[in-house]
Amino acid sequence: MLYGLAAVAMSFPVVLVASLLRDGAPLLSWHFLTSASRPLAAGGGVGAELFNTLYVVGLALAASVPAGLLVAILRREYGWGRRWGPSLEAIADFGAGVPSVVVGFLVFVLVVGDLGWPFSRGAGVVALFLLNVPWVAASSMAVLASVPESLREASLALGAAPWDTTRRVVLPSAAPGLVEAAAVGAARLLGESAALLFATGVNAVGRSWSFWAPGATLAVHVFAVRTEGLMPDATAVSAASALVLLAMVVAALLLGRVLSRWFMRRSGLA
Amino acid sequence: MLWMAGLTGWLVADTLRLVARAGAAPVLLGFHFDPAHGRFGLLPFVWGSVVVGVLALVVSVPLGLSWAVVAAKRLPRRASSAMTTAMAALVAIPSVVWGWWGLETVVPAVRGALGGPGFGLVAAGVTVAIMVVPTVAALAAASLRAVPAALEDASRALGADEDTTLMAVTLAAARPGITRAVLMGEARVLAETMAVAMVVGGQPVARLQIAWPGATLTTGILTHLAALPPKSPGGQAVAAMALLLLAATTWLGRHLRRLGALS
Repeated sequence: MLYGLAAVAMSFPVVLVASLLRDGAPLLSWHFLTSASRPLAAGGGVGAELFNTLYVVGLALAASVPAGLLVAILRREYGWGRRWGPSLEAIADFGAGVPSVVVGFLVFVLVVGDLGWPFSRGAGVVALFLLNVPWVAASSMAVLASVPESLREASLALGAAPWDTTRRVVLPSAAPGLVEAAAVGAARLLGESAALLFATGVNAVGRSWSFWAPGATLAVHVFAVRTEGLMPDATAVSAASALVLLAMVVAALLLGRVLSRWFMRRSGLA
Repeated sequence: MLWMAGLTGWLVADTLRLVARAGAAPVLLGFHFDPAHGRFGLLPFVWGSVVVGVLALVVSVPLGLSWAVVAAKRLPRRASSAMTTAMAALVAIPSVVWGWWGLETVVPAVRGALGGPGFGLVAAGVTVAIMVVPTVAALAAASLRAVPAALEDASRALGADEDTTLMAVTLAAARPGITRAVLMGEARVLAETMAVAMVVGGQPVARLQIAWPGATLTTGILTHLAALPPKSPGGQAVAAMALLLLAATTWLGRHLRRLGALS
């Protein structure tokens, strides 16, 4: 009974990947990764969506990781907002729990509606930024909390200023955990689509670096093609896109792990 | 960063405007959501979220816990740590990918087993339940591993077999952590949008045939946010859905925190 249920539970991810491979693997090729999608004909690719994913997620991470970390440092190390701000737990709950579709709603109304931005990479970056900052802040605070208080006290007792203590003592020993958290955040953003559907739109164009170009990412593409794609090979295209997306998620997690190990070795923790 | 207060305030204001216009009872208890005819009943969406949440709980808890027990207590050490890594990766599978699979497998299965179109609350509940199994399993396994070996050894020394030890000692000692794992899974279920939207059928009606198309709070927001202009009563109804959803996930978060303090 126990082993049976466990086997059933473990079989689902296996079946998922097997169905994706069955439908999508024949399509995977250099051509698929680099060419434009074709809305009405078979044989299209995901070149523009792949570029958009790297562009939107990359910019959103570049902005939200430092911002979230800054919030965590100010709140945890400097005690900012201890009286007037939300409690540590409230930030943690919010970071982990805010449904992404609510963020999508907010961005659609305020950024696309009130500010008049087009459905674009820019609006997508804003959506992912808003989604990720509380998450990074919450997980960074958890990592900072795991740094022993005695390290900080030793540094302060030796006469180091709070900023030097943070920069030379706390951050180096928290670095492996922070990197790992950032990688999980990156994996989350790569797979995000509910917050993006009405921010990036469902279209993508190649050969443009513009912030204002239509910004559909791979995750949005999987949804759009699977539910309303008109090309004859829609199932295969969405499965192959999902495989590329899964590969990127795994790559992000692996990269986080490798970097985290590297930081551990550098600071002599392992 | 402190945009959370602004977000909540904005949602509350919009909801109040809607309630002022249409009255509290028709909004909260109305069975019909038909903005074109001035009806803003949110019950269909609340009902959908409740059904999906309960189904997901029923399916994901036995599967997730069995997996956690096998991973944490029955496998040799090396396989157990490899399993931990695998679970962490499986948690990160994007929800659209699960939705893709739900369309492929769960919808036809529901159609075959229960009749009807297949798209519906049952398909949505099963799809998201399967999606959160790795989440529940990973968190529960972590709390099972934290149970002191001395407790289990004491139980075995008193003559209890492995199953008795598991039920009476290990699971009992890990209970706060396991409850936390289950509630985390449930929070993810309630907040899930895409995997639900792809298989739920998208009909804003509350009915007892849960195998038939319905809608949840999240899919209600997704399908109506662009169709109903923000400052109109319809847009305010979308804000009210978002507020209800946020209230539900925050309430779960609060419970999680209390459990965290316990364990």
